[in-house]
Amino acid sequence: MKWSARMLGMLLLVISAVSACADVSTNADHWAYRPLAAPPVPDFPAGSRPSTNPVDSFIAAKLAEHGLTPAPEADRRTLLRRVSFDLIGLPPTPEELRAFLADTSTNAYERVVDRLLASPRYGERWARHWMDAAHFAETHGHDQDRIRTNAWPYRDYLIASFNDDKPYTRFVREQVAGDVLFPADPQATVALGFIAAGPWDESSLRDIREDTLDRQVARYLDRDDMLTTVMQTFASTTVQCARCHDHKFDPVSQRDYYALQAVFAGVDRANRVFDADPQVHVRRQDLMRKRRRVKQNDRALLLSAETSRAVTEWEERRAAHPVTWSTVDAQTFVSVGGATLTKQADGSLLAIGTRPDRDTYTISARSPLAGITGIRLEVLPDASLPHQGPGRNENGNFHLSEFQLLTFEPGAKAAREIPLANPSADFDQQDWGIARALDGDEKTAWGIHPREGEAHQAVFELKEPLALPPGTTLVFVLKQLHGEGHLIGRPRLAVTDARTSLRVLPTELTAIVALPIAQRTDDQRALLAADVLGERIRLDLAALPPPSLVYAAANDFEPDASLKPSGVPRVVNLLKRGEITKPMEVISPGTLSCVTALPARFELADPADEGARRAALASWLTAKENPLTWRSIVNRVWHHHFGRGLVDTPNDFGRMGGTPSHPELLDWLAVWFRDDAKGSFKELHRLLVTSATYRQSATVVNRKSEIVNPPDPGNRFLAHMNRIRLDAECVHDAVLQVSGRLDLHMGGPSDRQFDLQPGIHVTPRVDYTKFEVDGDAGRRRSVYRFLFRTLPDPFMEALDCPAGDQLTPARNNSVTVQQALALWNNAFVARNAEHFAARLEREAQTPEARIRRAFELVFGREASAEELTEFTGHTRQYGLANCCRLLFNANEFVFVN
Amino acid sequence: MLSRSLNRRHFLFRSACGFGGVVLGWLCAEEARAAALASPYAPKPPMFPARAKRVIHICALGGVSHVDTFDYKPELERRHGQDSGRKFDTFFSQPGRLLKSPFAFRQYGGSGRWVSDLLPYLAGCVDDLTFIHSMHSKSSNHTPATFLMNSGFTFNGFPSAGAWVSYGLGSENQNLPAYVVLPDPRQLPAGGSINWTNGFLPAVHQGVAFRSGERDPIPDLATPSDISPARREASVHLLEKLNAADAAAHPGDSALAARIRAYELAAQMQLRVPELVELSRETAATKSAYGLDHPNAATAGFARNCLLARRLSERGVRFVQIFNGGQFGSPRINWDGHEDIVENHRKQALTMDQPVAALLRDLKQRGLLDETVVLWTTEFGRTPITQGIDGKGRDHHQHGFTIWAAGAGLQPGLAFGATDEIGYDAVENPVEFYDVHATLLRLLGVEHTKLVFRHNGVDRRLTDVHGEVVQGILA
Repeated sequence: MKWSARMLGMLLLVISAVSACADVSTNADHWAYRPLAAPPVPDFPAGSRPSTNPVDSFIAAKLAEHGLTPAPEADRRTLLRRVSFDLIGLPPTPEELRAFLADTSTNAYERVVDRLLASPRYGERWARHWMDAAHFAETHGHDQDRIRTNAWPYRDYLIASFNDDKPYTRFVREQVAGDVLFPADPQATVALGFIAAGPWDESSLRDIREDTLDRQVARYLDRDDMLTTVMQTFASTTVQCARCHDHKFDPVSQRDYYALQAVFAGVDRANRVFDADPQVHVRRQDLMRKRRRVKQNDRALLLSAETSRAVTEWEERRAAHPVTWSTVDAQTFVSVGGATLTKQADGSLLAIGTRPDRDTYTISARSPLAGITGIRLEVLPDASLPHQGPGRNENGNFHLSEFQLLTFEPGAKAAREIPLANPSADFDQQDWGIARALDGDEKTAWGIHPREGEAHQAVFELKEPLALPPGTTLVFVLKQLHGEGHLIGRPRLAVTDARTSLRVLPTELTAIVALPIAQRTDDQRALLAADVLGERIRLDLAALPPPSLVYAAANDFEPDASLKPSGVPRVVNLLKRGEITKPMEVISPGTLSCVTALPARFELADPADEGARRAALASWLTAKENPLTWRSIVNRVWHHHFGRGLVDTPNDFGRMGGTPSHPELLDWLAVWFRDDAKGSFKELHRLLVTSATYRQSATVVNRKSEIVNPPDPGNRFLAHMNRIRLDAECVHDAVLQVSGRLDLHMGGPSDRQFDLQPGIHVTPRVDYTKFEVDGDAGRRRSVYRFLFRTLPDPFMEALDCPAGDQLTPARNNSVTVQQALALWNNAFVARNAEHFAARLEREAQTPEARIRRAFELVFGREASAEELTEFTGHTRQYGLANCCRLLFNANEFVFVN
Repeated sequence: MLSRSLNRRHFLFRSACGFGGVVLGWLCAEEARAAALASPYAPKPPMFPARAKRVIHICALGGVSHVDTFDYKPELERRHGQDSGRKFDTFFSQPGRLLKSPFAFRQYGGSGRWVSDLLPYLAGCVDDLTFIHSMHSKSSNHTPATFLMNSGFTFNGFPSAGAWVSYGLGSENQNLPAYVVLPDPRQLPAGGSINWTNGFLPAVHQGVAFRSGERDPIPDLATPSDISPARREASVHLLEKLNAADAAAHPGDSALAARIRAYELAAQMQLRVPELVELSRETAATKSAYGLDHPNAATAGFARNCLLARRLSERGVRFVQIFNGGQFGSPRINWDGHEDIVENHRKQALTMDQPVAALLRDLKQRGLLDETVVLWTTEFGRTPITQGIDGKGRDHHQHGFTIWAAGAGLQPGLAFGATDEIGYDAVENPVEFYDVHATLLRLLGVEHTKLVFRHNGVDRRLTDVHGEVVQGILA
């Protein structure tokens, strides 16, 4: 029965996919969407150097096909420098180099590779590649480039994941739906930093009115960034091109696109709670899930037998321990604003006479009890008040801005403020809840509109029960600072020493409790249960240790201005021509139709469960049958090792992207990585960097005709290794290591390598020139630098470090004037050159020995006799630091052969 | 300072005797790599004959009220204080009532163009200006609208027009960047350098922002003070040798050669930029005309940028962008007159009017206006109604507003397009920024649909998938 429904669903999907893709379906046989099958490893062409590494077989076959011959193996110095920068992002030390040169065993190189892959530095290097792909930064970007204080845990998650060699399937699943798929692992929640890594339009999504078109547009664009990040990174598909119309070149329909929008319709970017302790994490997530269900009025939960039992127990406990209140007999009562407070027979104080705009009542009394645990404030109606009160405003309302309790013990010189907590009231005006009378913010307040004309009460608990020495005076302060006469007309105060929960029930719940259980409707039972459960969850959450936060995709977070969790996923419409004013039909969650081996629309048990949507996408992405995922990742890793992917557009395998230079090798690697290596990055690195292809020299030797007329201009077929300019992080970290200043302390909040001042609006002023380069915050690896999206470090920017506003699968490798100026004149280089010189002076005694050591450290080679003469001469005249600065500017330092 | 000319061939031959004498072989390869050695700003031929050689783009940020500057609406005077009778999609608060301009309008020049008394200096230039009164935009939120104005996209991270022009045409001056930005001396615009980003284009096309009024207008331009000229000279020389020897050992690698070239360019810029920003050779009359001696510091600072813009254009810099106005929010240091249009726009106009008019006159007098396009834009206009019922300010308005251009290839004194009688909708010949960009490129001899760059699988353009040349304003 279940099976046939599934079949039917599949059939419907196929039909809709066909109709939606009518004009593009001819593209479905494009190489990227074809099912994966490992091609046979070709035989080595006659006469070529044999290798046991299958990678070399594929490369050799292609070289032979094009009449090319491979370059010889690079010398050991070159090889070590290359593989060190490649795997850990740092140059080899002279000691490592000497050890490698002296190691005559046949597997000396393989052992170096193992050492590098085992180094924690490896994760730091490869996490940064992933941060580029995810366009990770630690501020929002846009016009309100606010700091994300809690973005860094995702960076640490990446470093740990690479160092732990997390299988790729798990890595992908965690970053798309880790909270749902691995609820017991707190780090799987941190992984959701991926979805939130990109920019966020705070002014449109938090500040402007909810009903503006700009807000709605911003929502679609925000999800657009999420789905683009996911689909480009994991599936190398430019699905975002189908926002306004079916993709012009690839088999992606507009329906596919909006189906992906629907996957992310229940999450926002926000600070998400997690706990480092897995047990606490699970407990808190359970409680939060339950709290969401309560908020969503989930009847299955609220009317369950278990809940009913809990409510009954609660009622019994409440009936067994009624709270008794002792009315306070006010001794002095002062209105700062000039009203007259008059004591009534029932112990209340009636305000008459002057009605100021704002007022503060200070009421003092001897305590009727020897100890107290809570205070009750009643606000009573009176015929003399507008609309019977209880407030003095024309409509009978009031606003209590802040409530305070102080005590004056006999002999004390000053009053002591007593901390209060857990405020509750029988009625809260919308957005003017009782908690606002205790939030320390005088601009917010408690009110009771539209329930004027009746009595109300609020209760404040003491954080700790308070014993009162005889003769102690209690002082109550009622600040009412909203203005326009929003003042309490007739307050009455009482205290209690009860040790049970003091919480006041909302009026309508008091009425429900008064009804015999059998007479309560389901609505009434649900209402009461929501309150009882909600309070219990609140107390349970409060009892847990303080949580950690990560800036991540979130469906449950503290509201911030008009940014609020969606509760259930928001409705996603197909937008005609991508225009917000032309919403068409509602679209349900799904993904690409062109991967025909997998269903493109998700069958979800509960459409309101947003997590299930992401989990379904994660499963689709990591399915064995999804050819995009496996081709995408091996190509991405290849790109970083060889400077260029087998497909040179790592984020686009579509018709407008590159075509694979070695399609068979790409497929072989994809299948090998998926099945043999079980998604192990380290295995993949090992396979690639131990290949003869990788170990080739980067130098094209002495064939003048070929230099003028290269047979393979872009070196697509890899007849030699590519020479690569060091990226910004490698330059930065190598300068620190060579200067002897690199601090290898890992993880934690990012180093802010700038001076930070408040800006005129949200975006702060950031000055990188005022940063003290010599300070400790400037010594760690650059992966721990704080990344400002709109205000990037000009030094790193000059070296093509991306700012995080665009997905960057491949960095620019530019050589610019700004870059030359930065390396010549920037304080980072200049100061570290001085440290480098000091190091040389410590470690070597003669001028020649210092130059020798400098060449070893910077270039990984010995200085020639001529160079020794030149550089010692230069040092004599201009100083050693100047020499060091010069070496940092040399091409030989900045390029890896 | 590196004073001798860095003649590449000269130093390579000289250093050929340096480390191992292998450089000569490399030189042969270098011939084949001449393209890589060429300046990254090497001028590229336009696609068809260009009307203009270069651009000065003045960005007035915050949303300049069209109905208080260039778009005269007598109907607002008649219906002042009345309900507008139509639904307003306001940005911040409830729609108010129609508000006549508190500024007096008059016709000026032979063309008889209307300008309010807010801009007396520019009023004297109207016969050189080409107005587009029928602008409309995609967003009424500052930053997306500003990005759209500069890059054709409401999102950040796309190359700005200046970067596209640098990429498409290079520069006439190989010793200065092709795209220079002069931010408001009070503050950078919202989004900072993202406003002049190269996006995915090669980094060399990023706008180079000159820090206002500083001796060292470009980061890291100056040699650290503790490094003597002799020391620097010797270091440069030794580095050249080291790099030449390295290049010789790796023949055929264009990146190595390009990097050597970048150091030469850097040395040139170290020479040229200080001379460029040194204004002492300008006459007192010129400085005074721009307002460099203005008692208002914001005016004087902006005037300095306008004068710098002329000097940059004079030296062949392809695209100069001047910002009038800083970040959005309070206190207002831009045209965002929510609270009080009179107070805000008077203050802003004071900073902009005289310097921009002086720039136009100066360009014209030097014959530069015939080959330069001066483009003045704002990201959107302001509502013809007040913000809030009894408000004194105006809210953001994207459906109709005014920009203008002047110079090469344009019809001077023209008023193109129109809004409706209260200045709400662009009703006659509506124009979007895509069209403005397409027209700007056309004036420079570039077909906007053909200036493309492949990025992440998409052929990107300045005009996205839109844009039509506004033929009606071309001479």
